[in-house]
Amino acid sequence: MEFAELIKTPRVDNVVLHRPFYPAVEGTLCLTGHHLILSSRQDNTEELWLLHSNIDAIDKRFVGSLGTIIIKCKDFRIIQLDIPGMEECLNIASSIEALSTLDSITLMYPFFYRPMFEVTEDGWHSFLPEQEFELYSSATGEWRLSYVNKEFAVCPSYPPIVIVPKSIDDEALRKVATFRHGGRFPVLSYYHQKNGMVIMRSGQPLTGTNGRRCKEDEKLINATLRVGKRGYVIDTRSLNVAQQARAKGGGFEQEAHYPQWRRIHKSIERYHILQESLIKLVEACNDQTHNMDRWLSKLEASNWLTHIKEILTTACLAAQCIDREGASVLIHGTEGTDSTLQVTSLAQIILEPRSRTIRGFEALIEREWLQAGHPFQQRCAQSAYCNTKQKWEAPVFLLFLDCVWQILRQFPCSFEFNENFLIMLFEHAYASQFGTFLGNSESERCKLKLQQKTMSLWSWVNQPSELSKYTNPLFEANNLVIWPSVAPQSLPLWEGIFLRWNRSSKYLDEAYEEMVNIIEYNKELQAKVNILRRQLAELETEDGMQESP
Amino acid sequence: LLDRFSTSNKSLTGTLYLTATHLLFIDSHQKETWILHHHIASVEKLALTTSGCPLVIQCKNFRIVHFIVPRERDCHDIYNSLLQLSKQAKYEDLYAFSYNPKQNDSERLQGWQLIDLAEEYKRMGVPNSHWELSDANREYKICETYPRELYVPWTTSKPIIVGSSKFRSKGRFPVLSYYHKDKKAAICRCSQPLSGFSARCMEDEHLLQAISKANPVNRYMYVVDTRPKHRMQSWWATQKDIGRIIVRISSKTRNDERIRESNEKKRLNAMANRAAGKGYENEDNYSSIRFQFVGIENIHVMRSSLQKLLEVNSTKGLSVNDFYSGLESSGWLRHIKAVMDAAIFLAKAIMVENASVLVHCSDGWDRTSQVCSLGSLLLDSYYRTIKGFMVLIEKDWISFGHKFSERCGHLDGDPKEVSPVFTQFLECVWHLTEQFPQAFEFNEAFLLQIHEHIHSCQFGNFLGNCQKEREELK
Repeated sequence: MEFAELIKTPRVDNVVLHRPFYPAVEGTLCLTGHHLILSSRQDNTEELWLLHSNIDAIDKRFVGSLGTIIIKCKDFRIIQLDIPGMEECLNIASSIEALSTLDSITLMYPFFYRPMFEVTEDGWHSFLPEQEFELYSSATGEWRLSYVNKEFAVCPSYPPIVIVPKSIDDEALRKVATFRHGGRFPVLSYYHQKNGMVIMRSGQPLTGTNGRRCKEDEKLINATLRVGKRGYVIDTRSLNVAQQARAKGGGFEQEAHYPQWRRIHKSIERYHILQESLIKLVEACNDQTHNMDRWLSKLEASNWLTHIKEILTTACLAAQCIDREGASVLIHGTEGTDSTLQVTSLAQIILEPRSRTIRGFEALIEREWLQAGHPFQQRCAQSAYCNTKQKWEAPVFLLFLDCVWQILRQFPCSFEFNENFLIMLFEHAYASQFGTFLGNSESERCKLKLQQKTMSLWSWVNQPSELSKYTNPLFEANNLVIWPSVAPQSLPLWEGIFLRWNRSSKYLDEAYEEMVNIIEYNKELQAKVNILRRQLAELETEDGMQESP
Repeated sequence: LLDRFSTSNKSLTGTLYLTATHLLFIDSHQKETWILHHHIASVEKLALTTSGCPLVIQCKNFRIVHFIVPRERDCHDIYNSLLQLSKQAKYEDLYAFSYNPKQNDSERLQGWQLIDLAEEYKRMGVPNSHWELSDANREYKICETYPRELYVPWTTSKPIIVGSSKFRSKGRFPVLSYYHKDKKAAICRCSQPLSGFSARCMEDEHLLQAISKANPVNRYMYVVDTRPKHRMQSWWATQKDIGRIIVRISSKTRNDERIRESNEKKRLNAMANRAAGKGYENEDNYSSIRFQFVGIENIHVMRSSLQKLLEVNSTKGLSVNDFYSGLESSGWLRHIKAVMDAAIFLAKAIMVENASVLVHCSDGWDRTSQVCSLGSLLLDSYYRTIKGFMVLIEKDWISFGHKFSERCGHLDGDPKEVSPVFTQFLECVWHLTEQFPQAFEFNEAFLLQIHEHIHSCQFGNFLGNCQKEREELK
């Protein structure tokens, strides 16, 4: 095993661990191929069990012969280890650095993880495209499953099975793929049962400076329009950026070729701007000076909440087109793998109650993020603390989860899952023992044989014992379309993620427990009332029967 | 009626009624909107538009309503009526005197007897071997803005009280606000000493000594001045300067008979006033006290802070960045934090250091009330119950003379006296309920109700500016 070569010192005694909310504890530090473990041998538990892949950056300091390693994690936690002995400290530090920056995906923990629980449902097969399509097919004969991308030859970032209009054949799809960035031709993202309108997503059209056109592309998206009605193209780039894209071979749908479509530009930031935003925000949260003015100005300067507002506004716009205007929508940015997916998935949360159930949300992430080809591996390689040069990292998925949390906060009874569910998804996207978020596309996942070699997150989460932690006790199923407010006053900072390690949530947790207990108790009493009522009714009819001669 | 924040920007048409006490709007769906005249902070007529004459009403509970009245003449009438109705001149015209719920006299009496401050002091554990009830202010002879019952350290004689009260602004000498039974430490409150640059008061020093002696555990006590340090630090330097200038001017006057009345003498007077006026305790004169400035701004700063905050909040379509800059420049949250920090200091002094604390600001009825009541709330879980909270407000705010009528603008008085001091206190309590959801018997709705009624003048509790005034108004 190559790991042994990377581990210079597998074990050190008398290491002191400093972590948030607990007093410092001394124990033995162990380094394995995938984990950093510290145990004080009390209570039969380990105080620290950290995945190397969760480590964003480490700092070393020396005072005399005592070395200190400060570990900054991707989930924003900061841990300190005091290690006696300079040599041990240096060894541990360099081992951690090597182990947390492995190049090959197949060396990562999910390939070595053996589940300790009984697998009753294989998460890899929980949300198959055919099953998802069943839900739509019942309402329309206008769509079909296409297997044109079976070998990932037409579009490397798409899944093998996509949903397209029935009237378009596979040959046409191949042609359309040459006209769209990354081969990402327009596919169905969401079908609105109420009025049959749809959300489609794609990459940008490769019109270039010559104004190239593709008749098959036009035919494809026009096929989604009802007679005499128009559709909307929501471009997540500003008009300027979209126009400049032409110089690099990209572009936008021109009115002349797409007369039935109205184009709206709603700029959403991307790439390194988002990453910098996250870095600034986390830095603001860790600021210990506790000065109100500084907090407010740092929060503002990070622009994080501005991004949240942008994304939510665009998602609301898309939802309005579908639900209020009764028009179909095509959404794309440049590549169609980041802001596009934020908008399509959030629009579904707004429009469709099923997306707010636990299974529905899991299915949404499968469809709109994992299978749709969001490059998780690239985006989540590093987080807010990393000081090495960043290329493709961006907290796109975290922004999405934050937006979901904002809506959850505004509509606390409309979601089957609670905040902890979202936090759990955030953690696993960056570092996990499960293979769900590995890789950048279905194509890569197939090549790596993840389904055979790793465990799916859904297998674990969907066990009843785990689900109970993530279920929202206030949930009341409804059929409504919910419209969140995007005023700045309505968009607070997500404390559960960003202030998680700065402030103990003990009192809030206790209040939550109490609430769960009260609701349980209420249910029990309600059940008792129902039983008693039935008994009463039975007794009354018995009396009635006895009285009649 | 235009609805401000709803996404569809609905406007409702209906009929507007004005009664002696309320403004009532009934819309086409039979929904009623009641606004108490006392709640109206300002009425503004905007420029005439094609749809009619707009009228904007801003309320003290931060509600803003827009009306569009079809005829300008009507609008003008309504505007004038509202101006008059919302600014009463006399207490007797306020709602509380005409409000008549279906209660008989004994029920009404019961209502007033619900909160008994004597009971509360007993619950705290006074009088005891260190603290006693003083008769000195029974007829409000010593201090008009203090309550009748005052608790002072054991064996504090009347001359000491009289002397100290002369040395303190508005006669508000140090008295007990809260006594912590287990720690045997006390929170006391007063106003600023009229130190001047040479004045000393033996009685006041004696009283402070007695307070720190009344704490058997700790030798020293804290004097918490809730005003910003930088303003006060320069004060002593100014005193020394004033001393030099007075000496110089008086020697000049002796030599030069022809100095005219107007400038020099006026300046001398002003300086002399300042020298005789406000200040803080000179550490040299008071043994075993430790100073702490906690930097809460004055009522004027708070008033404009709230104004800016309301402006930010009522601007539609703000970007996130503009919202946060606006929030930051209003400074509102910074002030809230300053009050909270002060209360935490108080609580720590008592719990961790077992030290008694004496709190004052300038007049001892604004920032002092905030800090003492919030500090007591942190220390004593009784004040986190519904009844306890009412008792706390009755004690540290109402009986100790926070000028509710002036601060809330009940009558048509000096706008410079209006300030959201009590509102800030309620907001601090609200933050605590958010951080410790299970520690409070009441919820946000309770705080909001109280806030409604400090402005509503529907009930007698918050009318007037001190206990003596309330008794006079019956």
